[in-house]
Amino acid sequence: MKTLVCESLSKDYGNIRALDDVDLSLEEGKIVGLLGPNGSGKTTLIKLASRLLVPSAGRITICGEEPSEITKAIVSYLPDRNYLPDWMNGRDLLDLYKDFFADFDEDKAVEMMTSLNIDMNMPMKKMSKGTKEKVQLILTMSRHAKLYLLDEPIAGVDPAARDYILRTIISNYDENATVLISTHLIADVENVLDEAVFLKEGRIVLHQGVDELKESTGKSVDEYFREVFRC
Amino acid sequence: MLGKLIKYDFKALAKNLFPVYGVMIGLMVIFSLLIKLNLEDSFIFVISTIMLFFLLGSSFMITLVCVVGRFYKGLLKDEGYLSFALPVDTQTHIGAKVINAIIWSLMNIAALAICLAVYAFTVGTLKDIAEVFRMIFSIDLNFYLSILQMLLLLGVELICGICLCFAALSIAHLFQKHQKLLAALFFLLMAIIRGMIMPTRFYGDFNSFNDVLFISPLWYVIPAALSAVYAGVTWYILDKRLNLQ
Repeated sequence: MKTLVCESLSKDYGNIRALDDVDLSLEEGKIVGLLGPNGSGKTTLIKLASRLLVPSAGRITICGEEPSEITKAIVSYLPDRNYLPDWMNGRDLLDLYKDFFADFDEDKAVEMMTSLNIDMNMPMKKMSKGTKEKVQLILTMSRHAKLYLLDEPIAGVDPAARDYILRTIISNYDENATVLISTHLIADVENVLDEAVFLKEGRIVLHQGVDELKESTGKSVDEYFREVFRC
Repeated sequence: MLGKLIKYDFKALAKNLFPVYGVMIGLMVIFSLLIKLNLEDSFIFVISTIMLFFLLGSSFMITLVCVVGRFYKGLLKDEGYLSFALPVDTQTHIGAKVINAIIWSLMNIAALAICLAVYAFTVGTLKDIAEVFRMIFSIDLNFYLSILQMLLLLGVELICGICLCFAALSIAHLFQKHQKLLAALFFLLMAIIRGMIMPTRFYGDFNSFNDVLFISPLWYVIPAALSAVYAGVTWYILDKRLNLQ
């Protein structure tokens, strides 16, 4: 089954075209890397799938539905910033996710927070940047969603935290779900990816299975990325 | 979902507004006790009186700023990434914010009523209070009907003002820079336009406590219609033109 489908999808910001006639189809059960340099349209594509933006042209669907409150119930989205209210503590956030998302697994979230010694009574504003990012990831991955949209989940964190984040993603996503990870840190994620999508100036220049890509080019995804996006 | 949104918005505002109302009531207790003990010449009386009357005078403005700030922070800044990822439609988000504004205005009125009660029961004697109640019950019913109309009018105006603030912030969101300044300018512009549309008088006189104040229906209809327009503008921008940075 196709989880995410884009048909001739375009997005303009004023006179700037951020996404240009994108056609993309992602199957369930895959971890897909959305790879490209800054400004290539990765975040725009993810925002369109989360319905934080509406397309200028074309169409995007999630499990056959155009983005709406219906698809938001099956999409778990991790933005590329601290988006949780700073006055809330871990317990408040668990309550909020439980209240709004029917697929939220509270026990799983508590287990992950406990294993990381996260104080659930501490307000977000008192947590370190790294701890905030872990809480955000835990909440996102504790949902049994059909589609996970992770926007730069490993940018700005130390290598040990990167390993933790990737382990959390791999060990927590549902096998029928699709995980779309946007990043420009290819070397760190390529071992967990099933497929890679290269975005360049708003256009898809490659969409291929990672094993197939390595076989056909004789290079790692990171090496091939550097070749495609050489300045 | 509306109830859940209202609950979390209420909690967020309570963090800011309950302390304000608490301080206001606390200052009224101090003020009343100092009067009761004939300590009006003390330094603490002067300070507490200044702070108290500042809070009494500005409490509605503080409430309004917090309510509008919650809209801005919760929907148009980073928290908007969470708000708009929730399986809730845009009109429900706007409805929750407006209902919270009404709830907190009523909370503000309740806090002011508590302040009045604190003063009355601390400074006044039972005889004074009984006299006030006797006076209240002796006033003609028409006076209360007039007051009720005024309260209704204030309610409609409050909703209109809140929706105007939300619309001004939403329009400013369409611009990349100076959003707060632009929001203030759009607010002023729309408030001026609104002032030009509104009728200039009530079409009735209120010379005596025995008359029922006649307020033209336009004073209700125009703000209600404008509220719908402002809410519509806000909905359109949040639903179709949102671009969180």
